[in-house]
Amino acid sequence: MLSNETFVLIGGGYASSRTADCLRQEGFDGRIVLVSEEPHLPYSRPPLCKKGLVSQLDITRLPLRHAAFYERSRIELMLGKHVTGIDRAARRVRIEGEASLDYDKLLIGTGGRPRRLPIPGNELAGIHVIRTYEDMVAMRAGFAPGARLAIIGAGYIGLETAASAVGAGLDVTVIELSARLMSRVAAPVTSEFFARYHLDHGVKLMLHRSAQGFEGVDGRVAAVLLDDGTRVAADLVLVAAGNIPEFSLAAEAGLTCEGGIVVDDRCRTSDPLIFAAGDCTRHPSVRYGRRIQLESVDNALEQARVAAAGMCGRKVRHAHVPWFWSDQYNLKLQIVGLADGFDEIVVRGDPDKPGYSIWYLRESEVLCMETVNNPREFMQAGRWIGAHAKVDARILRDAGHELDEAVIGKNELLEPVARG
Amino acid sequence: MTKQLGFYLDAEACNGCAVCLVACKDKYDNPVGVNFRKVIHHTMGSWEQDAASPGFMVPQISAYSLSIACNHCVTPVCLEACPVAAISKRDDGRVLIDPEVCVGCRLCQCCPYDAPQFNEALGVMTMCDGCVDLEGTGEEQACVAACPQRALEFGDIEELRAKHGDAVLGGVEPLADPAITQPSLLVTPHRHSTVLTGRTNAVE
Amino acid sequence: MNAPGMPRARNPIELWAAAVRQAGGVGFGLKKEPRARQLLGSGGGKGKWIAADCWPDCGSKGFNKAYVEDGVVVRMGTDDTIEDSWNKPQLRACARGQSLRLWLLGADRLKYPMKRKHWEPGGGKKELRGKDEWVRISWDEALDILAGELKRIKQSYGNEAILAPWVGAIAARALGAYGGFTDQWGAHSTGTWLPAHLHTGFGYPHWNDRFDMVETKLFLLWGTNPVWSQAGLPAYTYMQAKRNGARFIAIDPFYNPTYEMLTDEWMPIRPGTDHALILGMIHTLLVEDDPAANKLIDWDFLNRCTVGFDAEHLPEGADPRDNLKDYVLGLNDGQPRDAEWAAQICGAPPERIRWLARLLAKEEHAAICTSGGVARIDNADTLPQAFIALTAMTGHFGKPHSQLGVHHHFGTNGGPQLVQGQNSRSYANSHLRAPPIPNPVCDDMMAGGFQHTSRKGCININEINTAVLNGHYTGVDGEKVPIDLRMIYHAHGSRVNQLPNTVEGIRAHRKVEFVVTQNMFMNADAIYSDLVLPVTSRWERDGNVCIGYREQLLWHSKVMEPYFECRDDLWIGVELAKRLGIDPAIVEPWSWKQEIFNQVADARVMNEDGKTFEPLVTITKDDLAAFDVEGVPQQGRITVEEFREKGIYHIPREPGDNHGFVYLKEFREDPDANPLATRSGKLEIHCQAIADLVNRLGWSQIRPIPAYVPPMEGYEATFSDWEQRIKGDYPLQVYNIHMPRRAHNFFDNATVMRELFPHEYIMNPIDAAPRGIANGDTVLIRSPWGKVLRTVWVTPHIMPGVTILGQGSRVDLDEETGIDRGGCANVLKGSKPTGGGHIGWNSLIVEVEKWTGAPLRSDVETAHVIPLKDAYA
Repeated sequence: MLSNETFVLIGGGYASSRTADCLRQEGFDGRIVLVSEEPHLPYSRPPLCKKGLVSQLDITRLPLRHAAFYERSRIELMLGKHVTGIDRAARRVRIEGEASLDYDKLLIGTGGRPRRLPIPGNELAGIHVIRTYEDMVAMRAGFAPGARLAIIGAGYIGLETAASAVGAGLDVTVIELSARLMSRVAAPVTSEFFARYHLDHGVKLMLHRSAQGFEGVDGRVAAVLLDDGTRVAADLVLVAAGNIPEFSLAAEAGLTCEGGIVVDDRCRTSDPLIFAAGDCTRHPSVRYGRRIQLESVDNALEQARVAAAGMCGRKVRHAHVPWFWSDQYNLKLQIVGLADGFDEIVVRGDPDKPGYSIWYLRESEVLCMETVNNPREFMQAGRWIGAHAKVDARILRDAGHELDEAVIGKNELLEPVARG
Repeated sequence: MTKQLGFYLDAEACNGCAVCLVACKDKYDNPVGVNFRKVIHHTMGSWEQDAASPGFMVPQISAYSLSIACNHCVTPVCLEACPVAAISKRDDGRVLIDPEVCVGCRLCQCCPYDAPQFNEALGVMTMCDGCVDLEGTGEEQACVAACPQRALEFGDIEELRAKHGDAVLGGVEPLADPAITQPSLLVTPHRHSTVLTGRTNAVE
Repeated sequence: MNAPGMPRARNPIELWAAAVRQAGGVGFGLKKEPRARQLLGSGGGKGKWIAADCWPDCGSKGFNKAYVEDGVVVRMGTDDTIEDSWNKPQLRACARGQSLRLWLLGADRLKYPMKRKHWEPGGGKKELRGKDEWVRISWDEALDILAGELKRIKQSYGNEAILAPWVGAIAARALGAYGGFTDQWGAHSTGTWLPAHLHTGFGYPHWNDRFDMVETKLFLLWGTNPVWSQAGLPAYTYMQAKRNGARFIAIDPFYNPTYEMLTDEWMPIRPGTDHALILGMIHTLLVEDDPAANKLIDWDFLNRCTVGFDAEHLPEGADPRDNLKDYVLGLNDGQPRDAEWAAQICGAPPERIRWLARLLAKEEHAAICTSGGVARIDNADTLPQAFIALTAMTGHFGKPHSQLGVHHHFGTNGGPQLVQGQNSRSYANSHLRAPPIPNPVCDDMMAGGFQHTSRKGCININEINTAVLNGHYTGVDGEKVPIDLRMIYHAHGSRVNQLPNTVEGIRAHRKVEFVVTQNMFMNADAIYSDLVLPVTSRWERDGNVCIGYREQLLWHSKVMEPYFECRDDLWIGVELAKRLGIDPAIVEPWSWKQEIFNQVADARVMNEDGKTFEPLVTITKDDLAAFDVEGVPQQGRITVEEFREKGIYHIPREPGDNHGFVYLKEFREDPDANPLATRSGKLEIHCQAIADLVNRLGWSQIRPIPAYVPPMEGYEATFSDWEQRIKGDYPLQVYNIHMPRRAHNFFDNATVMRELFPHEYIMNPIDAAPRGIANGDTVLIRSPWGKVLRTVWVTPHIMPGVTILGQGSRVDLDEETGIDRGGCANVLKGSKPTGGGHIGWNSLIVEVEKWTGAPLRSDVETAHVIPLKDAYA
């Protein structure tokens, strides 16, 4: 179908790569061009702040799909090319140093950029963010046993880096604005659980503090200055203070944006020929009945699938239950759903040990669940959340009961239907 | 790990007939689009004017086939890419996907050998498991038993390496550089293969 | 409701999963069976393995077994009954065999008797055949219709009006007993080799034993591809020879997987030019041979054992000019058939031709291994004689590790059958201990058997459709025989699809009053029928016995109950007999179960002495009771139960045993004491019998020696002006080969096969590029006879000027445009006969252009289904 059209995908991450893949699966036979400002095949980012920092991890182990996949799928790659603008009237994309590229449909998957702190000293050498492979290589250069690493931000990236670094013998201090770890995404119980783990491994936690400036020597960072006057000595700094969605191209092109590119439940922007997916979007959550922005691999992949279908004229709704994960030490934290609006929290199992889970309910309906090292219950929770399942909190709380026993009432979406 | 299981392929004997692929597909009842084993056909060359006889075109081409499934790599990228820890490496070296944990995100398709295959009906990734269900039954792996050229073997990589001195570890064109994932795949190269040197697979 | 043996419908979890996804629901974490099917191998041990027949006529044999659980076939397996070794190899199945259950239980498998909605006795709206609606009917109604039409047509027009081309012995029993029918004659697979096997002394079978073969040092693999066509043992045997140091040269338009495995030395030649190449080689040897200083020619063998090579060795009464040497040297007409002459035709440089000739002549232990394909060429009637001459003069007949081997049908392992039984073909006689039922219309030949040569009451395969349309066909002496065909009865094979000029065939099927097809699948015959009868496969009957290669005997058991309302050919014959007033016992003298047991009892195995035979199985009174059959106890080598359970018997072998074989060895040693069955008693390079046969039929006139005749639609015909080499309207040749996906029509619809082996048209970039064609494009292929659409694979594997369209794909004609979307090669092939009445499929010329319409959908998407509402109940 549509074998004489050209679809252009802007971005070199999960959203673009998966959209290209799904377009071919949809049967699109025309030209696909993926333009990435990075010089690499679209690659996996999670290892960058984990194994990548403490091993010789090479870019060859990171591509999301290997080169042969793009060749056999006839997906053209323009790597290391910077898109400078979208001319919607002419349906053309301007690329620095290259001829403009005409499109019949466009996907924007520009992701985000790490937030930098606009504080004194932020131009000193040795202050890092981590998003790209080059960021990782640069930061890794400073990794040596005994090196003092200060991490600003106790979100996933900050804590994963802390776990890896401390395992490699660095002296790690984590500085966090809020009172607890992963405050935006996890329950207090989980914050507590992870805090204990980090402390046990020798990480220093400075909670409820903010960084006010950096001190340098010979142009290189030497310390982080906190709001309470504390001076945290550091040879190396990681600013892991969150991600800012990258949507300047969309905004300049006149697409509706609101802290992200606004899309509908089919990943369409305000221009019917332009789609967007991933970290750069602000999209409706069918499950939760409101607009959300997510920074997650899973969301990028799901929106890519929906966008590809839409670009091929097929109506598929993005009606997904989001999920997230973080690997710190030998712990796998898994979170499915969004907790906002809960009226009850149920803790299942012993919160001192991996395997416990935390359930957010609203009027007995499961909204969100987080767990450590319990993939099976995580899977179960995902199904329940998607099915709007209601549970009996008393049974749920009791780890002696099978999880299945906690469901209230018959729910069609949970039973396999014997048809045919 | 007590041992590292893997495949041996005699690419001199393989003729791309694909019965290995069909035998596996039949055993697992895999649908269209899901193939645990794949046959890669690699052609090189073109036609040219014959220097000795002007006006005649002559071929300078060579071609061969490779049959590969999951290489149960020593350092698999699929395992690392999986966000839900659905992929594990057994004591015997097999790399397995647990369909009860898999969420179908397809990130394990980073595999340079296309081993994990998405089963759309089931919503999960599926992959060659070295016929783990046949352990102890005396039955050979479906592909191994099926090959009419006797080109496939499955077993302890060290034993296979001792048996097939001329075999190289997975590094034959157009397969990926074995240094990336350390595949447990021994290949007696076809006479036209370019061989990539890779690190040896030490069993840890 | 699932019929027994049918694969599960999409299982409940898959259906639920689809529903959830459709709803845009969870999107992950679906509830699955705890041990999902992927982790189960042999069904958890609840079922059992049953030896399962693979009967499609590819010419090879693999042993297949089916794993059956609760009456459902869940998996295929192959031979593991013995420890595998080169001495005694397992008879492993090919990809087609492994796809048996998926094919046999696929979406185009017939379930119910059906009639065409707008049919009436006499035909009704005949023009709707192929596009009418189907109505399910009962067996009673179906058989009443069939019997009714048979009676009416016999009474009105006579038995000759019933055309039942090659329906197979079982389906023909009732028809034969009812007075017979018009049948077909002619060679499909063997091309022009068949008359050669009958008349030149180079018979069939003729391969040496495999232990002899692996010592051969030079193989000329000539236009053959056993890896795709006769999968299994042949390729494995060649592999052993290669490991033993053999050198292989490939002579073929296509560098195929057999060659990829064995050699880099590929000498491409155009289809239909093998004869010219051989003559160029013969010329080279004639001019370069010096018996003293450079011995290239085995004059001793030529003089003692052949006739026709030179004027001094001709049969009595022969014209002295009709000797090969004078012809090749150009003494007949001033044109030497030298390497330069041959090169212009075949496309190989002259120096390569000379090199090849010298190589073959100088090697003591050399084999030419070729195929029927090289002789499936218009006007190639004397090509076999050319091969025989080349082999004879280079000294490769009747010596160890040398041979001329043709047709890899049970090839690479020749000699007397060491375990004796039937070949698996369904057209062989069905009840072996009873005399065959004669067909009175055809001079009492066996009803339904395969007729090779012209015979009364038989129409040449090229003329089947024109006989219907034009009312006459060519008789035994070349005369025009009038015929008024009113009914076509199909069983066993596929005529509409597999005979040349499919479009003509469809017109023929719309002309007659009644068309009936009795088959397992909704094949092309069934599509253009009025009445369709669903038959059981070999899996649903009481087993079958057949040979493997010379060393195996296979006993397949019943695998599953009849599929839906399928009935077997024998039952149909009995029911027909009852309605036609024929004693049913004539059609079914005893049950199929009894027949198979008889064949098991009669199976004999050669003793170690290499001369005598003994019964294979021991039969006791208890065995007879247990099987509930008649018989006599006997002593044999293995028990009945062991044979039945394993499903295959392998005779033990080792190199140097008494079972070796070198074809024509005794003849070479003493031709006078061991004369061949020819007029001269010798190998006939000059073969008057073949010339007589051809010239009598009158489609061509040939000489008794292998003089080259340009094929009707060969390389020369691609030029409008041969002398000036100006290309004509159809500048490309088509090489119509066997593809791995299919054995003729069989296996073609198994989705796994359609997925793995797309039916692609194959072109060289040198031909594709000027036509603006890129890999993966849809192209329109046009011949003088029809048009076909295909997706193209552009590759250097095929010689420039030559393209490939594999045979066997089912026609899917768009009647508005006249274009076939199914890729059926016979839409492109004309039906004009030449020579001895073989079919010259590999002489076919076309033009190709890029298709500007909608691209073809994939083979998986266009898999065949049955257009009947209840077909999926």
